Amino acid sequence: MARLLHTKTIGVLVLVTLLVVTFGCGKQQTIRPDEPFARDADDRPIEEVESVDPSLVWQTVDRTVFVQAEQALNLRRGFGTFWGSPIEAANINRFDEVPDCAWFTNRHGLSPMSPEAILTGTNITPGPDTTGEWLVFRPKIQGATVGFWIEDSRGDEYIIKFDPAGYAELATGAAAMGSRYFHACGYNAPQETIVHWRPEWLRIKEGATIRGSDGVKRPMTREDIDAILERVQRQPDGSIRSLASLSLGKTGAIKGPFAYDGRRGDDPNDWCDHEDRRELRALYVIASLVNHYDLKDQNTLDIFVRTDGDRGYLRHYLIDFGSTFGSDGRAPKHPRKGYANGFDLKDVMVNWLTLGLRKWAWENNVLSPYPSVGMFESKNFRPEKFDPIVPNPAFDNMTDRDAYWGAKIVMAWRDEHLRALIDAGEYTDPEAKEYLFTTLVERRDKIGRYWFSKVNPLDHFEVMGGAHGMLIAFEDLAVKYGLAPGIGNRYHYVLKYDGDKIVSGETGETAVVLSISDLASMAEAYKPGHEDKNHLYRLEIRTERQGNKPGKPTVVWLWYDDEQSIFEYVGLEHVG
Amino acid sequence: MTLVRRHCGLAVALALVLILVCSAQAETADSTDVRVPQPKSKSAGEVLLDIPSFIISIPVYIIKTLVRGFVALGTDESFVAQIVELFSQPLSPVTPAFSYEGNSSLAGGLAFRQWNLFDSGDRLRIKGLYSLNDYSTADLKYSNPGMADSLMGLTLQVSYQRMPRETFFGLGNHSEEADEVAYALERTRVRGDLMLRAGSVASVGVFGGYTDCITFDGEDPDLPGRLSEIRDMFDLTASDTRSAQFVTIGGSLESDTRNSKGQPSSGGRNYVEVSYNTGVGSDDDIRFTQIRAELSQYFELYRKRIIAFRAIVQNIDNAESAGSNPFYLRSSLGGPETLRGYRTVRLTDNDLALVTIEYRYPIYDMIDALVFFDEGRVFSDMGDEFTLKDWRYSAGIGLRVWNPEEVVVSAQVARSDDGWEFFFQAGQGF
Repeated sequence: MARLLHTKTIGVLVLVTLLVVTFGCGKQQTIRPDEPFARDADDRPIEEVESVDPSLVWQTVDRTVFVQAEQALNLRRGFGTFWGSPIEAANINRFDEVPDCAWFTNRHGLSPMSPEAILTGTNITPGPDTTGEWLVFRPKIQGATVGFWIEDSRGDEYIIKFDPAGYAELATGAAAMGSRYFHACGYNAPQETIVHWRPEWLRIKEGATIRGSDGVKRPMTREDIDAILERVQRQPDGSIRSLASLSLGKTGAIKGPFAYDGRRGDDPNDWCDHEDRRELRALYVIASLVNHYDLKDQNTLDIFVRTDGDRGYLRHYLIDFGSTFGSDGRAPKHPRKGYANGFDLKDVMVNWLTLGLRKWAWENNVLSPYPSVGMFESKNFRPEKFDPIVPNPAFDNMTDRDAYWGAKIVMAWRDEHLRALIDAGEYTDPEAKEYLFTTLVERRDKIGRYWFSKVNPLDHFEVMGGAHGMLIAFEDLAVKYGLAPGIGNRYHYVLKYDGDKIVSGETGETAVVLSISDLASMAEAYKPGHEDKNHLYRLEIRTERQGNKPGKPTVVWLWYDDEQSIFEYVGLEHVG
Repeated sequence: MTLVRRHCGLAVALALVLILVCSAQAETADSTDVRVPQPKSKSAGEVLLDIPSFIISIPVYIIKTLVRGFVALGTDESFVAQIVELFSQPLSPVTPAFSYEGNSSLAGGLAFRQWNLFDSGDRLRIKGLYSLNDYSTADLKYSNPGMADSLMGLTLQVSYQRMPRETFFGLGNHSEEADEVAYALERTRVRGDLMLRAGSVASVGVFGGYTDCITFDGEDPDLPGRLSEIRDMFDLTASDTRSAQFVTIGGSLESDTRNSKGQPSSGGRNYVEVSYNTGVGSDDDIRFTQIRAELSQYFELYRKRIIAFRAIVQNIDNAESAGSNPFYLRSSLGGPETLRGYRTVRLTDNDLALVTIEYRYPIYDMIDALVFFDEGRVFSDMGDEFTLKDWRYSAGIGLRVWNPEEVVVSAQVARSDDGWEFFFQAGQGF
């Protein structure tokens, strides 16, 4: 019995040790005043990498079954979630932001873009030249929609995509808006232009081939083009409205899609597991606004951009936005898309075990009255229930902090920005535009309301020092965006050093004032030492709304420069 | 005890070392506003938790590797890839076919389908299966529903079955599972149906066919199988177990108001068939009339949650001047199409009655789950003996994969007082 007791004790001890070591060490502060990183140097010149072409079938099976199983058996992940210490994103800086990098550039989320800039989007060329012939040189058979590649009279290459018959403006409008949306949010996206053209402009380029129904390649003919055009929406005057997507080959060499997990082994700049990149994790929130359901590896692309002779770096793009908003490329979206994975094992099991009595929210979805809008709604939309076509390991790793960061970008889309985005869709029906606008506003506010409730949404801190003390001003984003009332909010703050409370108080203003005597108390508490943490002071601010109990804190880190006897603002953390 | 203490000490020492390592790592930081990519390193604690995670995930990795290998085979240019591509094409003419049923066990083979041979919506289906219990099946069916401006339809079917382990439990509703014997039956059948449409939902049909059945001793080593032995066990005559050759002629009436054949949620199908069968050659004393009525009805509760009802009545009436029918030509219950908690052909007699209620509900696109209850009985003469007593029942659950034209495959598991039964097959009875 005694031996058994000892064995149990050892087991418990080892387990506790593991947990403390794993999750306790993760809380060590490494904040320094000479940060944050504004940019990741992941554009250092490297040798050109090989192109990759992963199997879509395998990825679907892997993500739907095996990745889910591996995650369930990952003890570190499981304990982390249980312990309240999930694995936070690896590429954030000390102000809880993502530095500019080859994946992401801070745009609208950090500094609002003008409606004109949003409308412009990625702007490399003015779009295909409509004054000369278009040479068709390759059919587009992959993806949700058919189309073909053309070379215009300027020598630029575009993929031409169409609206499905009976749904004018559906796919082209969605893709034009989608590319601008993700570009403004900070992602790399191809240039997408809506263009009106006539079939007479087309000529087949010499040597162009197509794979026949027997699987054998043969020269492309005019009949092949006509067969494609028979399936697309035409204007009454015979012209065709299309989406012209500028080939990313103009930017660099195409190297295949990136994966939402792991790293690219042949890219020394790829220093962070993709599932731990915040911009990929928070893409879940950002994509949910526009119901970008078709988020899979195959809808991404790595481009090798030459910067130093033959050397260069990989820039990572999101591509193919034909399945955003209410469009599914070939038709309006199925009501389930965006509300469940393509094959959602969990939902299938729930359906089975509940004898089909479980009613899913999407079952109430109805097609919008506008063919150009398709299946896009806000009533049944729940931000935390958004599901892409296949489970995504980056989304699975998303923490509340990541989601808040994504929601912050979504909430930066004010009404005028959304109207500019809709203008990019070039819709002819004003009622359809208004429907889109209303739906987007409602979805946006649902996203903000939900994810802002998971952390304390205080942000945009400014710290000002003076003869009378220190003013730490901030914005309450829930109030700023109208998600919480502007009056009756109380902000409770506690300033700690080495675990000891130095100053505390509460205020109704969005600013914490530390008086000269507070600063003196803080300086007095300072314990000189050689470690960074000796310099760090932790200011926790919690928000009490309408008399409700204050929730999680936003933490402001202050650094004490003992040589100059000043406090600096060096870090921000939204505790999830 | 010393050993235990030593382990305790080691664990604590290890913990201290790890905490120190972690602390040392935590102090490392860059000092520039441009972050230079550094290889990501795991803390010792993370590594320690990753080791057991890896160990318990090994089965997942093994299965994953196997599946990945298969997928890789299916995506290169190899012969296997071409086979996979052939099978995976939408509306591929050649598909693999599988079924499972208690007597035959697991069967596998190929099915070939061809649509629009004569540009009239006609279909040709050829299927061949071979099972672990040496059952062989070959089936060719051609149907053309669009003849004479769609007023007339034609179906031709030729089939061959070799069934070396067919079970028999004796005649009558009270037969016991413990009396199971296994005989062998080889059946070749040719049949043609001509249907004339009478309105949008009704049709009248005539049909004719020829059937050749050969019985011989069963091949199940665990069950009595000699025909003479079977006759002795169940007090049967030689006529009851003989081979038989006979021709069939008959007519049918059908009313089909189902809104879909794959997932009917409203309407129903009512079918009545009368056939006259007469033996040929040395079996010319076989003469019987068979009447079969099958009624099904579907109700949608809401959003494709469907209640399906079905009732079947079958009567076999021997001509007075005729000898007795072989038992395998009589009415039977059991198996995936009738009383699903019982083995195929578990209950045999002249007449039968069966009612079924089934609740179907979607669990995914074109996959429905089902919960069912079957109740049925066989009678020597239903007209004289009909009773609501002693009906056999079974209940179970299942899955069916369908397309708008048909049920593609179904799997069902059912329970009865005989025990559990499992079936997997192409299609489903109703």
